[in-house]
Amino acid sequence: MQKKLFYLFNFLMLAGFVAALAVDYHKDWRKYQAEYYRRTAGVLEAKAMQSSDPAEAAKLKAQARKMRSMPIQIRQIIAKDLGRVDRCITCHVGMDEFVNPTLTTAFKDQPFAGHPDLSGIVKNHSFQKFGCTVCHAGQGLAVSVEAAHGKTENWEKPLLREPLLQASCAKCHGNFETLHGAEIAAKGKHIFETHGCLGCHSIHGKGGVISVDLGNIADKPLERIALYNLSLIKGPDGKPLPRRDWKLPAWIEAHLTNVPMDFVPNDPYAKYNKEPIAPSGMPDFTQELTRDDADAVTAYLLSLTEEEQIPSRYYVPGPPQKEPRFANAVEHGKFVFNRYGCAGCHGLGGTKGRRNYNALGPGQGDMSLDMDKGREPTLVDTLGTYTRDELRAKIQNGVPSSQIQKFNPDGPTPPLYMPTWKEKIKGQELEDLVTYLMSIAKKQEEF
Amino acid sequence: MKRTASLLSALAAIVGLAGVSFAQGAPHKKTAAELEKEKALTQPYSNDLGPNEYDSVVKGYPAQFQAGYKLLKVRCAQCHEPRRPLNSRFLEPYVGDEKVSDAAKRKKLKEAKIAEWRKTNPELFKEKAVWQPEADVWSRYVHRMMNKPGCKMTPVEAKQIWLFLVYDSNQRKIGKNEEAWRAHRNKLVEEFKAKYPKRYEELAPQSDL
Repeated sequence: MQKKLFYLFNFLMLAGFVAALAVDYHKDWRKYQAEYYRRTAGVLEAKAMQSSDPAEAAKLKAQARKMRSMPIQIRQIIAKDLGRVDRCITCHVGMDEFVNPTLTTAFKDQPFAGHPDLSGIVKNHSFQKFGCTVCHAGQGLAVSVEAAHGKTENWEKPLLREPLLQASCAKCHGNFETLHGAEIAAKGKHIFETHGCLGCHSIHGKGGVISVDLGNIADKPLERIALYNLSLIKGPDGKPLPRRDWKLPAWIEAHLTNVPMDFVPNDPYAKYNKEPIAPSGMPDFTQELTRDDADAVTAYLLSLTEEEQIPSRYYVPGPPQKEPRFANAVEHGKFVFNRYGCAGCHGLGGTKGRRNYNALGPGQGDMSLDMDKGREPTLVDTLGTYTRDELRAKIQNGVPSSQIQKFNPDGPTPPLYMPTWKEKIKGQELEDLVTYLMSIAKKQEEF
Repeated sequence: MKRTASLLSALAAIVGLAGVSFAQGAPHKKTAAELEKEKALTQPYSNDLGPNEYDSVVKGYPAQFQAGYKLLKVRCAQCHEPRRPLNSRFLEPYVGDEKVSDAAKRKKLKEAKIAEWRKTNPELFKEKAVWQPEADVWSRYVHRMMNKPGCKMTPVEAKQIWLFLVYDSNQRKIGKNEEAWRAHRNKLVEEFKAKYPKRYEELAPQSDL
């Protein structure tokens, strides 16, 4: 009996090995590689047929024969300096410098096409030195499409496509705003700086303290994002995001394309916690930013990483930006308003106070339903009732959370408050900010 | 029959009692103004320790200012006690405001008056806890209050209240009443310091007592 079992298990093990080999033999990458060689050989043979020079024709035919006899194997780039091994060229064979030294192909479809920017980006970022994933992200060691493109559940860095791809330019190049090819990331940074994000968020300590520092947001592990919140995000088609897209880029972008309190509702009625917790305090930008704007900001934010082990000699800055010049105090004040992110709470140009959940606001009636009508002050309406001295004091001292009146006393503490700015905005910046604020104040109705 | 009637009345009593207790148990929905008032109470100023009415003084004022005073006691009291503006250090020059309809002209007159006070009565500008003379201080504050959530003050009412505040300030805070006002304000600040030392520390550096 034991002998029979021994034979049976041996047979099963052998069958397992054979099955594994069979499955591996039918992997997509083998088909792609064979197809690339077959297509390329076909192109060479066609050229040979058309060639009037017999020597040239013979050379092309020899190349075609060589192409048809190329071994089907895993191909990879070892980018030693960057500590990366990228097997992307196993499928994208046309981008393997050893198979295709010119790196150009006659094919438009993937994975057979060549790199679209050979004369620019590739010229300055040789494949052998940089590999692929340092720019494109994804899973370099994988050889299946889904896994290599990071579309599997637990791979945190999915393949970056345009426009998010420009995050990779911005992460290495200082002054990327002036670099050709990084225009989208530069636009994202500009939007980030002019729509008030810095009022609440800081980047490496520069900015507000109300919400998290985004200096390494691109390194945020997915385990710190609740799957429940990800499940509430709506994609561009209005439907929930598919599970395979529950990644950091989608999480960041959702803050600009969805209403944040919809997918970070927290617990405002204290159903699950002892104390009520307000939904996300992040304003609703869906009416203010287009999808392209949101992409641009996401590209910029994905460049904010501290995790990449890239040698310092790889960090090549672009030319420095021109120092801004201002014609008058109002213009400078406006710059200061944007620089410190005042629009984050008070809206662009102070024209619309943003939501502050459960703060006392206009038009509130029902205690349980209208907590989301809480608003930050709309500056243009109120500034006219302040003197320069009062405004100066308000900016410097801020309005602590304890002084913000709750609409529903049993509801959560409003998430937004005005931090003290006395350490950050002072001197001429403060004076010109006050001048700007005075200039945007609506004229009071006269008595 | 008698028994049915008594049963019915007992049932009615039970239903009635349940209704009353339900009504009592239902949470009172606070208005925005009530919430503002709560906030005002938690963030006191020295003004809040002074008298809540000046009826005996105001009854000697012309009728239109008395009307503003009456409105103040209703409208302003929605969000804070009347004592807050009545004991305030704010001082806006009275230039016959009700007669000068051109706001720009009125402002010029007021600025001239401020300049005159600077020369003739510099004390008004030194003792910041007692007086805060400004050409449009009451105007600014009444407008600011109008922007508060839940404020039901109409522009006409606001103007009446503003007229009263300006006139009243010029009656009770300067001229023959200057010394009495100084003593009153200093007493309020002392009491405030003793009663709310933390709040005093918070407001004193900003001269916002």
